[in-house]
Order: sequence, then C-alpha cells, then structure tokens
Amino acid sequence: MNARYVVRRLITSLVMLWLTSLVIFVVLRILPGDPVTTMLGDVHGVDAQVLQQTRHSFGLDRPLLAQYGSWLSGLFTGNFGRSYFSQEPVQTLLVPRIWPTVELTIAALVLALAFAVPAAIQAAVRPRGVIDRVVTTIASLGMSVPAFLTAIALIVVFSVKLKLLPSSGYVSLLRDPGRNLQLIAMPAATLAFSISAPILRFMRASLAEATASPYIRTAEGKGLRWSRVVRRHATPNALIPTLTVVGLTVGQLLGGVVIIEYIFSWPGIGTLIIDSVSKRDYAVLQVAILVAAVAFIVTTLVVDFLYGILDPRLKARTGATA
Amino acid sequence: MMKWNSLRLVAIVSTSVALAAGCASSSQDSENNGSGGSNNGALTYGYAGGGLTSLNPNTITSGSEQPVALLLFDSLTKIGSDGTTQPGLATTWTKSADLKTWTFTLKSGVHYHSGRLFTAQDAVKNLNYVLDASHASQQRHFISNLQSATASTDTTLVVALKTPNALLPTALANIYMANIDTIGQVNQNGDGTGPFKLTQFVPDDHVLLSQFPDYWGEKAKLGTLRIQRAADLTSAMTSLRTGSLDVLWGVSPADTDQLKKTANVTIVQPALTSGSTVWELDTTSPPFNNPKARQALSYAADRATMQSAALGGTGELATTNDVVATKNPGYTPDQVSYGFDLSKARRLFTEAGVKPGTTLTFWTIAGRHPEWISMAEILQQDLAKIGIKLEIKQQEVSTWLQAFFPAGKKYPGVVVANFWNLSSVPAYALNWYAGGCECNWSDPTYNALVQKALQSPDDTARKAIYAQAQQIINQQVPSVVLMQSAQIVAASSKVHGLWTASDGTPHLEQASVG
Repeated sequence: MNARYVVRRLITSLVMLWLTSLVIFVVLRILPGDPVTTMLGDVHGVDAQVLQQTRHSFGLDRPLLAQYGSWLSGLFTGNFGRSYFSQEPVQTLLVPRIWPTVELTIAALVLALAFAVPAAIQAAVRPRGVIDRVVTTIASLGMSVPAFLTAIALIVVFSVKLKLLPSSGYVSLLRDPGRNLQLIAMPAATLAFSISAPILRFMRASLAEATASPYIRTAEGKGLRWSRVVRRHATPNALIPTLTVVGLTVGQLLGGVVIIEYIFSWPGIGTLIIDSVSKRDYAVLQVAILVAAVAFIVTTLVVDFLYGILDPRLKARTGATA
Repeated sequence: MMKWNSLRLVAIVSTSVALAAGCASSSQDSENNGSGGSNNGALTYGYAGGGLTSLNPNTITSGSEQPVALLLFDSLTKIGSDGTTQPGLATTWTKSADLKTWTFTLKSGVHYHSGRLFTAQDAVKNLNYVLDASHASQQRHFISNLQSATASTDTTLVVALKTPNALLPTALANIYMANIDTIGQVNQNGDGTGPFKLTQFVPDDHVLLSQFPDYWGEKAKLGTLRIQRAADLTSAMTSLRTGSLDVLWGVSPADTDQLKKTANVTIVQPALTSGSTVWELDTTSPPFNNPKARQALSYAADRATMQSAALGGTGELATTNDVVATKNPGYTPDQVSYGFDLSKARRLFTEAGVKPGTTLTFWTIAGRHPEWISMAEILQQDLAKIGIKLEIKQQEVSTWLQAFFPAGKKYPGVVVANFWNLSSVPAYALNWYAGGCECNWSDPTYNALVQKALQSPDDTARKAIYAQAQQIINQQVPSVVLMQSAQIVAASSKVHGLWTASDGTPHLEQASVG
C-alpha cells in the first residue's frame, strides 16, 4: 500500500460520503411526516399555524437546496446542527454513543474470532470428524437463529433463572470494569454467536481450498505433521479472504446493532439512528448515518492495510516497503 | 517477523485509542453506582419507548416527561392523590365575585436549585411563557383566557382573566414554575424548586436526580432517583423482574396478568382514571360525517371481548363514548349506551349509506400498543359479519401522525387508534372537543356549555352543565371511546409512597425503597 493508493482511496471515500449524505438528505425529506409533526403530534390544541411557526424557527420551510447547503457547510466548520427535539448539539448526543458501540463490536469480535478461528482450524485438521460436524452444526445454528431469540434465551437463563448477570444497562469500562464485564457479557455473546457463524464457515471453506493447494502437498511431503501443515501454512493463506468477511462484519456492527441495543438497553449508535428515523430528527440522523458510513469506510481501509501486512505478495506488487 | 510486529503494533495502537475514547465517555452510564435497581435511598424508574428529549416542564410533548417535571418543578397548586386541588407554591388564594380576578399568596423563602429566590415575578414569567404562541405548550389551553398576570409584591400574584373561570386554581396545577431566566439551558440545569435537583440528563437515555436538601416542602426520602429509558418494553419488564428497575411506567395492559403473578411486583393504578382508548374519526368526511355511521361503529365494538382478550381485563368499558370516566363524580349516567350490537350497527351503517362491501381502514402504530391491533382484529371479524371490510394498517409513528394531525386534515373512512390522557376535571376533559380535536368536530352549543361550566362557581350547577355537554357527545359520538383507563405502572414491592394520578402519571416525590 503506497501513498498514491491511500490518496486515491481517500478521494473515493470522500465522494462516497458526499453521495451518502445527499441520498440521506433526499430520502428523509421524501418520507411522510417531519420532526415538527412528530414533536407536536401529542400536543392538544396545536393548529397548523403553530406547526408552521415551529417549522420556520427550525428553518424547515427553506428551499431544500438551501437547507442542504447550510448543513453541508456546517459539517466543514464542525457545526453539526442541533436535535430538533432536545435542542442539544448533535455531537453531544452522538459522541457518547460511539464508545459503547465500539466496545460492543470489539467484545463481540474477540469472542467470535476466539471461537471461529480455532474451530475452523480444528475442523480442517480433521475433516468430517466429530469436531468438524459439531462446528458445522453450531455455524448453521448461528446463521439460522435470529439474534433476538439468542438474546432472550440468554436473558431468561442468566438473568431471570440464575440471576447471575444483569439483563440490561451500561457502565463504562473505566468506571467499573467488573460491572462493565457483567453487562457486556450477554450482548457480546449474542452478537458473537451470530457473527462467528459466517466467519467460521468462510474460514473453513478457505482452509479447505488452501489445503488442496500444491504447496500443502509439498509441506506434507517434507514430513510435517498434518496439524502443523494446516496451522503454519494453510491458515495464514485462509485468513486473507476471511479478513474480508471480518471487515464487512465489523463495518456493519459499528453502524449499530439495533435489536441487541433495544433488548439490552445498550446505549449505542443503532438506537439513536432508529429513534431519529421514527422522530424524523433529520439533524441527528444525517450525522449519525454519516458516522456509520465513515466507520464502514475506515474499516475497509484498515482491512486493505492488513492485507498488505498479511500477504507479502501484495506488498511486493504495490511496491510497498516493509 | 516484520508482519507480526506490525500486527502487534496495530493491536496496541487500536487498544490505546479505544481506551482513550472510553475515558472520555462515561455520560452514557446507565447505572450511577455500579448496581442497578434498589439501593439505600436510590430508586430506578424506567419507561419504555421514546420521548424524554427535554426537561422544559411547560412544553411537555410526551407522557414520559411528566414524572420528571413533577420531581424537578413545582406549580402554584397541585392535584392530590384524592383528586382535590391543594396548595403548592401558592398557599392561599382569593377570587373576585365575578371570578375574573384571582389573588394568590405565594410561599416566601422558596429557592430554586440554583439558589435564586422564587418570587411572584417568576410566576408571571412562567404564565407569559406558556401563553407565548412561539412556545408550543399544550398547557396553554388551561390558561388561554388569561388577560394579565402581575406581581404586586414578591409573594403576591394577581391574575386577571378575560372570562370568568371558577377552576383557575385547578388549571394552574398544570403550569410549572421553572426558572425562565435560564430556560434555554433547562436540559443542563433543570432549575426548578422541586424536591429533586438535576445531576445529569442524557436526552432519550436517562435522567439522574438527587435530593434537593433545601426543598421548601416535605423533603424527599430518596437520595438519588434515576429515570432510565428502555427502548423495548419486553426488555424493561425483564429488568423489573430481575430488580434492575424498581418502577416501570407504561406497561402494556395485555401484560398485567403476567405481572400480577410475578413475585415482588405490584401494579399501581389510580382509583379514578382519566385516560381513554379511542378511535378517532374524521367527522367532516364520509362516511363518518354522518353521526349514524359513528354510532354504528360504536355498536360494532365488542368492548367486553376487547377488554378481556387485548387489555388483560383492565379499564372500564366506555359504552357511552364519554371522555368523563364513569366513576368520576361529574359523570352523568343519563346517556345512551352503545353496547355491542351488530344488528344495530348494520342498520345504522345502512342508514348512513355504508353498504355491505364497503372498506374501512384501521390506522395504528407499528411496534407499539399491540393491544390496539388485537382490538382491531376483533373489530375486523365483527364487521365482516355485517359485510364491511376493515383493512388494518400499521405505520411507524410519524406516518401514523401525518394522516390525521393537526386538526383540519381529512381522512375519510379511516379509524385512527389513539390514547387520550385527559384531565380528571370534567370541564377540562370535555374541553378536549372544544379545543381543536383531530376529529374535526365542533358544536357551538357544546363549546358554550364547556365555557359555562368553567365559569360556574357552584358545583351542583356545574355538574348539571357537564350532564348537558356529555349528552351532546353521547348523541353525536365525535369519537368512539372504547375504554377508560390509565397508563399502567408496575413497581417492586420494596417501593413505598408511590401513587399515580388519574392519567397514570407516577408521583415519586415521596417514594422510598426498602
């Protein structure tokens, strides 16, 4: 990965972000309703004049192009606008939700990889063995059982019946690490169960393909044990395509996993996005979706970077130095 | 080797950045001391759904904001648990013979949480704030006939009205005395005179309150109180069962049976309710511009089955379509009952021109109020028996609102499911139809009666006026009222001192745990 490649990717990413912002802006305004209607819909005695006055105070009666221009220029100056409902600056609402989302993503990913990678390797060491069959079954379950069912099952067992873990809430890791671990355990496990399945299956398939390669036969021919052949020679090559799946998964998780956040009252970015959609809180929603898009783009950039590290052939091809 | 060193470096940098971000962000903590639920002097109150986006007590737009307003702010008067109007920041009041001039004596030595003294001038500012049309305050209709408010001394407030109002003290219970000078920062300071002061507020997530030691009235028993939002009601109910929540507001009626069987959980409901589950109709568009069609729909509603199947047996059947609860002293029993009768429904629909084969639309919210959908399905089956098709459409909340709000919109052939939180004072409950109902119904005789009720100083005379007004809406059926009920509150049996108002709003001012 050289400087020219990075610059090219950055420019492409910026264009994608701009297009994303435009699509979000337009789609939101097409949807029926607006923040004023939602805000005052429960308020008795509000007439059309009050609605119009409120829309005017929010600048929602300006031409769409003017609204978009103001918002876009505000982004460049760090003015992300204010929530129409709470009047809080968007960043005040958004920033505190980023870390819980990141934390949940990291925890789920660590658990998923800790299970999926060794399981896939072990399944490849003994194909069609007991472990391979068990691992394949677990992977199928993970892909077919909806996350909310897993969540509910864990809550019933660990919170309601055994009273071992709290069913909902959030405390930051640095404030109370013990409590944080208790609170993150079930949401992370729920997510890990879902995301480990495709990672495991993909890696298992990549390993199967890798172990059919001629260099593996050479390694075997040199007298290496099969388990060592799989771990030391096949696995690094199988990791590369698996990284793509991991990258896509991380990108999606960083956009917030609404179902998990709802069930466990986890204050992540997903809940903020869904709430903003139903309230039509354009200001918050536009920025939140952009942040999710940025997270996705950054993740794919990181994945590309890791490709270069993991695969020396790519480095040599792009002229990168070690 | 270089590859693994690079990977390790990436891992170390990522973890450091992540930990630094974690340092900066603790405001989303949903537990104040690492242990949710019951703790000495601490209570966690939960609500499901959305809506707590602002602490401004005079622009309340959601039921979830009401309990917080009661804890941070006071009014000049308050409604007690027995439904009577009691002194608040105003200790006594007198009225002129024509009921147009009221003089309130305010308690002296009351301070805001910020330390500033509360005076009659603050009362004036709050009343003017509510009356200012640029602030969308639904409390405005309580004082819409206010001519002027003046502070003759620091503790004397004089209110002059355009028209007489015998119930002004009751109306003023709905206007909170915020610190108007800093109302722009109310989400940061929550500056009121109430028994609790604001420690932290994260919109749509949680509010953390602590006892205000210099409170002018009876000190709160709790040291801290946390109001925690749960995005999902099922999750919130689990939290209540496991002890993470002490109190939960907004329990679905269909879940009350299950909660009643849960050990250590009690259902808290008011003796007198003032909420109504309603079907709103556009009385200016066909077919419901014809009162017979509205009456027919009411006859087609099998309220008893809906109550047992969809509402867990809660609520009182409202077969007269009255917005005044049957247990309310102001309720008049002399009304026609529109109990379930499909033959009458068929006849009246026919007379109104609604022939068999007609399709009506039931308009409800997706993801909330599952009981409304169950009720719609019961109605759908019954209407099918008389040849009328009912399409049930669930919409997300903004789309749901857009169809019928604000008043004046046309929605022909649509039955909108809704819940009205009304006052337990009949005059203000009846005023609902006189103040711009989305049903687009307006009757000058009815409006005049409501105004007359407000002006009548005599309880007996007022009750007679209520009766006339109720009989009009009984005949006209501007909306179909299914059930009278209140938002349901469930609490741990360790919670004491909690009571709910007629609309289900929990009062936690004197709550304790243990």
